[in-house]
Amino acid sequence: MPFKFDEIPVSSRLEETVKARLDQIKKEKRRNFKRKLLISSTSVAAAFAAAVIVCVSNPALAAKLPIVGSLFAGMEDDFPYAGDYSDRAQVLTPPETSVEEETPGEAEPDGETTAGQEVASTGETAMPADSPYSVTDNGVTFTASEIYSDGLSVFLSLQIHSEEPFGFDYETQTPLTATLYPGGRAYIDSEEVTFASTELFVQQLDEHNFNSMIKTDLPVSLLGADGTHLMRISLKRFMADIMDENGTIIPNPENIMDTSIQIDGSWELELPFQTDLSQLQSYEDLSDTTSPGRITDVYVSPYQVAVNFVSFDDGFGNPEGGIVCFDENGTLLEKGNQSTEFGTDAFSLNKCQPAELHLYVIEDWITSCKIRDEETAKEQAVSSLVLPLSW
Amino acid sequence: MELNEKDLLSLVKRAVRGNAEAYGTLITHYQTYLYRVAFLYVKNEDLALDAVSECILQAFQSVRTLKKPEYFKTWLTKILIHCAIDLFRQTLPVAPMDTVQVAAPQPNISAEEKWDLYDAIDVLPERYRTVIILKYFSDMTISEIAYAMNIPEGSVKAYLSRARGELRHCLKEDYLYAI
Repeated sequence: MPFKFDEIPVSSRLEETVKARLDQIKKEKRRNFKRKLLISSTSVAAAFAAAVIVCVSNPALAAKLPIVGSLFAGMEDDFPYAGDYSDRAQVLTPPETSVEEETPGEAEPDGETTAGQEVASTGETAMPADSPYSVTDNGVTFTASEIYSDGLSVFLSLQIHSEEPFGFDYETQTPLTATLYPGGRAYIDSEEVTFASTELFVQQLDEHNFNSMIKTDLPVSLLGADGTHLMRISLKRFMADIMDENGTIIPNPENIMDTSIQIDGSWELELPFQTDLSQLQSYEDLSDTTSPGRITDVYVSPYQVAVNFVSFDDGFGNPEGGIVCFDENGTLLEKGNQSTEFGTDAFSLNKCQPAELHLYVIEDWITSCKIRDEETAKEQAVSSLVLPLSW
Repeated sequence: MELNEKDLLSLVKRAVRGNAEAYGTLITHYQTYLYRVAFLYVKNEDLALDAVSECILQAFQSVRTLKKPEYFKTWLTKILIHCAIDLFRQTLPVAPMDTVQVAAPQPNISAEEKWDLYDAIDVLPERYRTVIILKYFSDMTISEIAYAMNIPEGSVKAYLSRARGELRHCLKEDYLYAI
């Protein structure tokens, strides 16, 4: 990355400014002037937190959004990795029944509604209190709904219910945009996964209820691995930034650097899932060298393209670099959220099935984000690869 | 005067005990760094000088609260950030939303030429800008940034992730042109 820190010109008045202030301090010290400024540090609460964009919907439409057990259907077209998840997903939590709407004789024999049935999501549900896929602490409930793995990532739908309302202006009766940061750790088969670079998508139903869809990448050791696995989510903090009507984050009065609200608690979920490798294409060991910029592996599922490459050094000992990906027609595939990891890039297929992938390795991550056409990619690439796909 | 880590630690310990001379030596040692970090926030010479000056005063007033001498630079940066943000807010012109417009692309100057991290951070929300500055310009670790911003490490990682996402979005859209 082109850092210019050392090139920022230093003011010719800096020395005199500093000297003047230090002289003042010495004088004041002589006057025994002391004023305490309390600066405290907080303890480390969570090892990671994942950012979530909340897409505000009109609360009046909330009643029409899908409920737990069939959340994928309502989000899969708008999710950054769009595709058909609902037909392939395992349902973790059966669809719930609205207490307010349920009347004797109307419920299914087992007391559950059928998948996909649309009822008002009021938060007052008939979810069994001992459901292993629903956990409540400090007024926030996380309920896992469906799960699916394409052999590269785990896709999870999750309902979030907060007793404390947020993201809503009661004076104007309008929803406010919010960004959520559930903080904690995630493990797959006991191996910690990078939740911070997770792709998250949230729909706001009202000021208490949110539906979310989460993509968490499998650890390298499980890429393309068959069988049943266990995802464990251990959340310790629920944070949210609320924006006002001008899109400005409402500051936390205690610390302007912190999120608008925070709720600490303990939310543990254990979610079994099976990897579906039926449509996964794996192209491994593509390079016989480990020189920086070499593409080593490419994986393609119906939802995404994942590319591993040998990263560069940014000059500070940090990994650097990015991939640009086009289809056979020169159409750019959008980068996914791999924002904290280098040496890997993921691209959304957005329901397309390209015949070829044209991959270009760029030394600078920012440049890789800026490139929009294949000609520029060719000019700037350190290395490239054309990969025919078979669907 | 070149100072090694041992010298710096010794000076910090004396400063924490209230020695103004030691404190002055430390400030002089870090003054260029402080100015550049402040400038990254406010992009204005006068404001950057004001931020450094205010930081020097506030830091001295609270130096006795510094628990870990080895974190002096991080702790100093924390105070500087607050000073810079306060000044930036005081001077930020307030415009009604309907008058705020995205700058139009200028002819003959490609966006590619103008964009880099230095410019791009200007469009980031405050806290995202802070983590990017501390991470990539001040070269701090996650735990140091957490200490400097007074937030959990998890939040730092989340902000970094989000900030990079925002940067990516800006770069992709080419909708802002910073000179």
